[in-house]
Amino acid sequence: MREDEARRALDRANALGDRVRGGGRWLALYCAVFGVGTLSVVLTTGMASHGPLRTAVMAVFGLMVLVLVVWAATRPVSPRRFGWLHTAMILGWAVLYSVALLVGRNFFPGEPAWWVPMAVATALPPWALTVYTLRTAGRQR
Amino acid sequence: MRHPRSRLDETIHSPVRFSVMAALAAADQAEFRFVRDAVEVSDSALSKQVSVLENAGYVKVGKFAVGRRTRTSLSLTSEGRAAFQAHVRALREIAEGTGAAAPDDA
Repeated sequence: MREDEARRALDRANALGDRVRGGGRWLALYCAVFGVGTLSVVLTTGMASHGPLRTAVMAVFGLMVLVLVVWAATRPVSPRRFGWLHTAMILGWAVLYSVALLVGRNFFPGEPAWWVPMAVATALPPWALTVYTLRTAGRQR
Repeated sequence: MRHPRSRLDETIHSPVRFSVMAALAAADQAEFRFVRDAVEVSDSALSKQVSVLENAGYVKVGKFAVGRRTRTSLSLTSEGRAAFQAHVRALREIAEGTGAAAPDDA
């Protein structure tokens, strides 16, 4: 194999890698939507003064998660390290979500100074993965 | 010192198989149809080359149901990923001095 043939093979591999990584960009949208959903549900859970609104928002959030899971399972490309990244994101979200609800319901019911920052905090893990995905899976040369 | 040509993997060296390996190296898993379109080959040509890679232990083929359809997923085994990285290292050494960038494996 000559030098120019090796160079062409490497260029081809780079181009294919870019195309496949681009196919994994769906993860950015998945995480962005999940972040908006969790922000909404934490805010409503903490601030809503009556049960039916909370129940409705929780139901919509549950349905949204179900749709996201099915949609993710049918994507043609699983980004590199998807399993690890997704698990880390969900674990981070679960910890923040649990703290927000357990502490907030007991000590800060209806208190915006607690619920607004905690709602944003629960959205940070998925939004961080959105940024990471756009910087890596969506990278184009 | 041996020339890097001697370290090229004969199984990966074929243009279509090299392309399949390069595509799969950039993902954890990809559908057969996606790889076919990315590599720009026919179903039968891809099937044939994937069989060679599967028999070499470089590619894992999976089947999963989506509704009533069965889809085929392709992924690199850890052995396949290591073999592709070694192959790319040899290519890079051959191309050294020409300014070619090595493909990302992440």
